[in-house]
Amino acid sequence: MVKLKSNDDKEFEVEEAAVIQSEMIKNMIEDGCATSVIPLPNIDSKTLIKVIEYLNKHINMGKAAETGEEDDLKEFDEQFVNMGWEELFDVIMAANYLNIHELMELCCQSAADRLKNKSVRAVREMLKITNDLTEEEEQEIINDAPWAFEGPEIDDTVN
Amino acid sequence: MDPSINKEEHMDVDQVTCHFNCPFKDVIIMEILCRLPVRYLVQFKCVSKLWNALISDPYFVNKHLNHAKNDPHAPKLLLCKSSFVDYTTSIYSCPLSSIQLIDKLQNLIPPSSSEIIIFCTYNAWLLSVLLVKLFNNPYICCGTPPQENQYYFLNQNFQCRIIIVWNWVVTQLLVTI
Repeated sequence: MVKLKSNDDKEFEVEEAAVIQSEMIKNMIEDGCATSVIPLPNIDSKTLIKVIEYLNKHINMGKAAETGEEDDLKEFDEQFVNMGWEELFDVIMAANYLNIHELMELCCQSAADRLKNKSVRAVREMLKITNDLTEEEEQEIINDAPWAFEGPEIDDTVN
Repeated sequence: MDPSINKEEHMDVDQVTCHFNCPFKDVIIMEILCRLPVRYLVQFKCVSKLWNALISDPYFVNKHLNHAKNDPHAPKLLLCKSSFVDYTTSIYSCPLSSIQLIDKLQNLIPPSSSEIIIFCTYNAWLLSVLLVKLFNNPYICCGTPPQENQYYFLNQNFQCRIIIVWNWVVTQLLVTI
């Protein structure tokens, strides 16, 4: 068992087979640096619980393929990314920090899918970005590639 | 305690946090954006100065292309090939990766007219006529959708006269071989 500690001081025990899906922790274990609790200063307990849930489900990817549990795993993944935007972003940050390739793929794809068809205004709001472009600069970008700004309806909602 | 010293220390901490956070978040943003079709990327250049710079960055363009090459759902190239033997024209669709291009070519429609038209595609659907007419002769052209950022096609044994590389992010013609 490997012990992980979130930045709000909560400890979690995870099976080694599950936790080594994180390249970062795998390296730590291999280097003998994971004898006691591993502190994760960038991850809060709420996010860590989600990540551990994912790791436990994906504990043996190869085995799932053999026993025909692939569909089950796919369904789990679909359900897993069904979370709020902020929460998803937190999981992406955690997956990036822990270097869990599959989780990163899954969540980034979900985030990208959510950004599709969003208006520029909605994207700014979702990612808390302040527009620092002048009106002229914005118009210049539009004039450079007018085809990108024509066509399908644009979604102004934020979620 | 001297309040001025305290204030200075505080500023240092803020600066460190800022330097740590910003590039870290950019990496995540890039990871997400490289999964988006180009049409959205061009729109999202309007989000902020940073996003405009990030999306136009050659590093990002390459990253996006690499992602599209490995994605089976990524849009395809549309090729127009003319035979100089019997003066017929064929239009093909093929995937992005240069390794599998030749084998995976799929004949889409045999145009009845010998007139050369290069189409624009969106997930291999013919959307609109791009009309890249060069030198008044038949050419092969990687006419591509406003979906992908960069396309190239290796000549190999496929008989073609011209290879065109488009970079849709900067929307300019890059190379003509």
